[in-house]
Amino acid sequence: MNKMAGTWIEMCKSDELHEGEMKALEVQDLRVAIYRHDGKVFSTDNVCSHAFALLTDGWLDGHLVECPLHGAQFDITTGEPQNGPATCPIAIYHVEESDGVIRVHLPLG
Amino acid sequence: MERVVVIGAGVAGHRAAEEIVKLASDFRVTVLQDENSNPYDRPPLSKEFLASSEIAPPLLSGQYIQSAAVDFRANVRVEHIDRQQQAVTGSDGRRYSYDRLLLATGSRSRLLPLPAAINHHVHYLRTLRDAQRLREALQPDRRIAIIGGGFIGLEVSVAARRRGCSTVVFEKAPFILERVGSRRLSDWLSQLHASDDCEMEVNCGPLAIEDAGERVALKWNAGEALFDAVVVGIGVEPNTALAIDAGLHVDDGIVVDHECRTSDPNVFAAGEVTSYPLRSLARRIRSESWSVAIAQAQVAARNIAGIASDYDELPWLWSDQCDANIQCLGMNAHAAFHASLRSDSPEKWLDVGFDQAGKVVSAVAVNMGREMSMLRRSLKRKEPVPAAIASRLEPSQLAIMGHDRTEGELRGMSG
Repeated sequence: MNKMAGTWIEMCKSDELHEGEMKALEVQDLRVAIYRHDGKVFSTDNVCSHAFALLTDGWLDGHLVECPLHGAQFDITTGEPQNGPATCPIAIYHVEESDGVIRVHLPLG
Repeated sequence: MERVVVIGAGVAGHRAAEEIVKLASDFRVTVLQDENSNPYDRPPLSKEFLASSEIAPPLLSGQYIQSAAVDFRANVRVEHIDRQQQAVTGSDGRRYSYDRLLLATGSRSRLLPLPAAINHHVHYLRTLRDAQRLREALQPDRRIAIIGGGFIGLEVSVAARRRGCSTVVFEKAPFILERVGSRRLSDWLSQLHASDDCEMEVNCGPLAIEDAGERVALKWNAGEALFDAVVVGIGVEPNTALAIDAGLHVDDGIVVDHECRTSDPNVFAAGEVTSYPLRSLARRIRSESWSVAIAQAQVAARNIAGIASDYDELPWLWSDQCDANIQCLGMNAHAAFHASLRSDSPEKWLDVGFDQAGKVVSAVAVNMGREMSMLRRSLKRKEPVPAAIASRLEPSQLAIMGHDRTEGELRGMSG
């Protein structure tokens, strides 16, 4: 499937993530967020790079996810901070959606 | 080529300079900052930076300092603005000519009138240097008096306790934080801090502070005690002296329009120093808020670059205390009546304030960032209160003017 180091992890069924929604998942020590925007699924680290908070407790507006604590916004397609107090990007992960399943490539053993 | 001079490299001046060179690559921007440091972010100074010696100074990304489009100069205080010649004079003896000038001079700590002998025990918190000095003073087992139960005082008290100090917060009003928060927030935070071993002396009356050798003696209307250090957080005053000297319209802050323009069309102002208009409140206000500073910097930068932009948002600010996230939107005092969001936990709540016409003018939230974000978004887009919030609102017991409405009336207005 992919030769990069890491593991493809099944996150959920396709029909469990609707347009404009996001979902939090924990895989071992990783906190991962998945989002559906314009039909496509994106995945990022779920912890804000500014202060400790889960982005999925915040707000998804188009391709921007906003942290609930201080309003830092990240582009879910690139992980780059857009507005607000964050200056560091968050990690993004490769996503594959096929056969009604969403899988994310995570940096695990 | 247009020349822009920015006075001040706090978050407003810093962000504006970044935006201007991004929007207009042929502009040359000079940033003059009186402090002898690179630009840094202030919110962490009263929080994580103060609480742990391991935390590095919160410097702002310094890309533009290396950029050829920005000439950043630390340790230069502006002494005079010559609006006729369109130039400012710095303490380095140089003149900096401008086509557009941005005043982002911020505020300074309001000082207590104190005898000089005890000054080395007394701290204020505004600059990175203040924070470094205060952090040194917050050694384990020291007893710290905090004068002023506002956001800064309360945040400092948490940081001090994390460093092993004991703290007493003195507030002359009957409730902490009443000016920016609400009575419910005062009560909630009083309990939070009490459960975190903070002593609180509200209604403390005038304080007498005296030199007691290695310590400081504090007397208030209900007692007296010795402290190792005193931290004063009794508010700020806007740095308007340069603007007044230059003959700009100043009323509390530097008066600007929705475009962040002062009474001189070539001079803009952004951040805490401004007195700015809000259509929804039909008045001008001055805000001590990081997010207002950022938003105004962006608006000023766009207008300086020739792109029309308008600032008209209720001020929003946050505080983090003992793992609680507090957010305030607008000013509670501008609300005629309130409604509370139904919540499943006493640790999570949101009160919304309405004016007489039923328009949202304020909100206070504890650990409800998502709902606050939804509310702010709808206000910005001039949309009704989102149904997900409106359907959970109940008239609250916190009427401040006796105008509370029934639930049905509220639904009708917000729906």
